[in-house]
Amino acid sequence: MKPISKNGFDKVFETIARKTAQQLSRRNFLSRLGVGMAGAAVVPLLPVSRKAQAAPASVLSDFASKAQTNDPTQCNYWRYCSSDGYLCACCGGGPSQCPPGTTPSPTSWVGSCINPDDGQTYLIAYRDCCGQDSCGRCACLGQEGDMPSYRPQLNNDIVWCFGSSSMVYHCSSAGLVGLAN
Amino acid sequence: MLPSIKHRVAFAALTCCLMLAGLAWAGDGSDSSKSTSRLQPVTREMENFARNCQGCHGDSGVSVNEVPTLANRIGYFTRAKEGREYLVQVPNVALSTIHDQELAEMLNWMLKRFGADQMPADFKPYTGDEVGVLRKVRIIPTVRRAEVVKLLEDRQLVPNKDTLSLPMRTTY
Repeated sequence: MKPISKNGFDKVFETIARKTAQQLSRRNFLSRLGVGMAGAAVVPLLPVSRKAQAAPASVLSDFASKAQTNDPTQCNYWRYCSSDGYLCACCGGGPSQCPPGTTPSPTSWVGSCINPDDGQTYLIAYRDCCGQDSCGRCACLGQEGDMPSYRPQLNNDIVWCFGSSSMVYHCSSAGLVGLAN
Repeated sequence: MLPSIKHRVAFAALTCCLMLAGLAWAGDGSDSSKSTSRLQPVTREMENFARNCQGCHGDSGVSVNEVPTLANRIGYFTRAKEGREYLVQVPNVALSTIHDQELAEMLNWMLKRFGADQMPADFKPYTGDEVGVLRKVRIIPTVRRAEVVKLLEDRQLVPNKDTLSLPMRTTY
């Protein structure tokens, strides 16, 4: 049938609409709509990685966006975001364990780091291991939440061996305290 | 005989759903190897305590000689008005960066955790407004503490003279 519209633009759409109406049944439309709706409903069930969703980009700090959770002997291990010094994990200890022959300081300072696997913030106790000379391996400088030395409670430049039998610094550990609020 | 279009569509959608749900379930629990995956978040009071106090005072409120003990001690201070005020005016509490309301909540939580047995039965929790006023007052901590402790001892609000004594003279 010849389009009744006069405007060229209208003519194009009239032709498409008429062809569609003549060639497709109403059931065809309903079935396609049904498939579309079912499809849209199952999209969230797809087994995709939700890392990005768990941690919105705006929340991820510079450190966390480059952090990893597998190798505690690297500076970018997620718990070291505020660790300043030699990693105990490189000195015969673990990320939260002092090497043999040193003692964990009874005092520490508590900061927090984002775990890039789940995007959550965890409280971390930065505790120095004391009693032997500096370990000298894996020197790292994480500075998140680190305050200047005139706020010593949250400063990582000072030696945290207060209350320990020896004030000699060996390495820094980063123990997990809990999941932040 | 072919089933109607409606049936075919419904069947296809159902199959799709089941398949995808199965895949999603199989992909779950990928974090099971991480030690952090089962932790419950701490409360706001606990987090403020952890970030501002716990490192030195210890999570059980007992630490080394350099850091005064909280456990089984701070509760006694709430037995007198002056002691109640002192707990807010002690410098690391008064000068902390915690807001009045959260500071009041944290102090109430600390008293419950470290001093429940020593608090008077009619103890009224700190409020944000009260803390806001109290923390503005500057004290000389060693001097003020000695005054408050003497007052508690004179009124027999502490069992004996050792109860609130400190192992190091410069601490408070």
